[in-house]
Amino acid sequence: MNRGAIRGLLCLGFVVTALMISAGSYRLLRSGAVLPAASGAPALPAAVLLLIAYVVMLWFSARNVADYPKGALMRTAWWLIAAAATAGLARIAFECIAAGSPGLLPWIGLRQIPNVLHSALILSGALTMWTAFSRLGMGARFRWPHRVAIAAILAWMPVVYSVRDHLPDSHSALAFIRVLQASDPFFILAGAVAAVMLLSIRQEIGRSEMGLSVGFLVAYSILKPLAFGARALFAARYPVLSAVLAGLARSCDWSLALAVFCRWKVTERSRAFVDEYNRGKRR
Amino acid sequence: MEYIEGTMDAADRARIGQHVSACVECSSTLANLSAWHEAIASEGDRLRAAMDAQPLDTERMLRECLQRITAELPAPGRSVSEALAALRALLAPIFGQGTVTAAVNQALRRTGLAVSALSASNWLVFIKAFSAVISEICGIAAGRLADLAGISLGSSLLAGGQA
Repeated sequence: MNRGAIRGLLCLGFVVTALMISAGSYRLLRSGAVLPAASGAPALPAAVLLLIAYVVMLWFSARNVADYPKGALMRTAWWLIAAAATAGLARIAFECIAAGSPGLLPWIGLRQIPNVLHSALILSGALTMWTAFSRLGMGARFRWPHRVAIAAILAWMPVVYSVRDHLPDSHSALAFIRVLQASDPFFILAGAVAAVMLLSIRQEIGRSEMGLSVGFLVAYSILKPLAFGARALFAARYPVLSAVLAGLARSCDWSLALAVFCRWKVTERSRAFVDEYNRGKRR
Repeated sequence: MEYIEGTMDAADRARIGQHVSACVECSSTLANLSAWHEAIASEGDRLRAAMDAQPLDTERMLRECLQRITAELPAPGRSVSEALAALRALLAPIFGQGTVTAAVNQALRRTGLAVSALSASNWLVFIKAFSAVISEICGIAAGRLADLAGISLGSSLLAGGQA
């Protein structure tokens, strides 16, 4: 399949998942429910789309890992992102199974284990990537807009924690689940700080496939906490906005899949050039 | 190169601009480099346009592009600066201008060379270090491409010529 078509399909997956989850959240809000609903799990079609996003992410991350020499920091970064995809896959699969079977529903809070793992792994992956680029001397042009963005993210932290009660599993019967649930916003917000650091590198990289890949990772890490906090903050007064944000918060994993795919395109295009060059030499 | 690419600080740019306007030799070098940069940048645009094309179109465009680049490659006797400019322009559409510039600088640090000390005799040493850096940041396939492009450009260098 054409690479442009694959990218288009991934973007379509993002939009359709966001629309599905937004519509579901809006219906719940209109019926008087407080977000999240009892299970907090997306409906099956949206869950299947998210599963596809994680499978795509895992598939291309593994290929990206294989394209780096042993010991390279970027290889570690892509390992961490592949592990994050696995954790995401485990979360959504468990969530769907638990939400659908009454016997397992009381244990649905266990999804916080892969959920927090996913956030922590993405944060580690972003930081490792930043370290790899900064070892080349990149990211030194850290300007005032980046500092303002980090200050805004830190200011956003109390907002997210103030609405934590409205997030899934905050009232779990299991104490360790409540602790895990409380730590998730920290990892997500720390990921956003790492994303701003990566943004300065993305701007330095310039227009290219590599830049696009880092750009999608930055978009994910900034969009997630923004939608995460805002959806609960606006739930009572602006149900439509809150539903859209809930959709964005869950579907932005597609942005990660796009980041992983764009990085793979760097490898594919490099190979195509090398093959073409070798063919030209033989002619 | 930073002067031509417009990434240099305003003060340095003004200083160099002032010198070039007064120095005939530098003015001629700058004119040559600018012409070269423009020619290769236009190939870069063609490569970018090829990104979203159908596979068959991509194949055709790659072939045409490589033929054109080969035709415009520095003829034997061209300088290291020109080879370096060609290397940057060829790889920038895939890895990014900033990544290539940072990799060039890192390769120079690893080999202990200054840009001005680059010559036909140490070009291959530099290219090995450059492709290793690209491998670490953009992957093995990308490193192979950097190596191939570097060796190919190096074969047309003026023996004893410097950057």
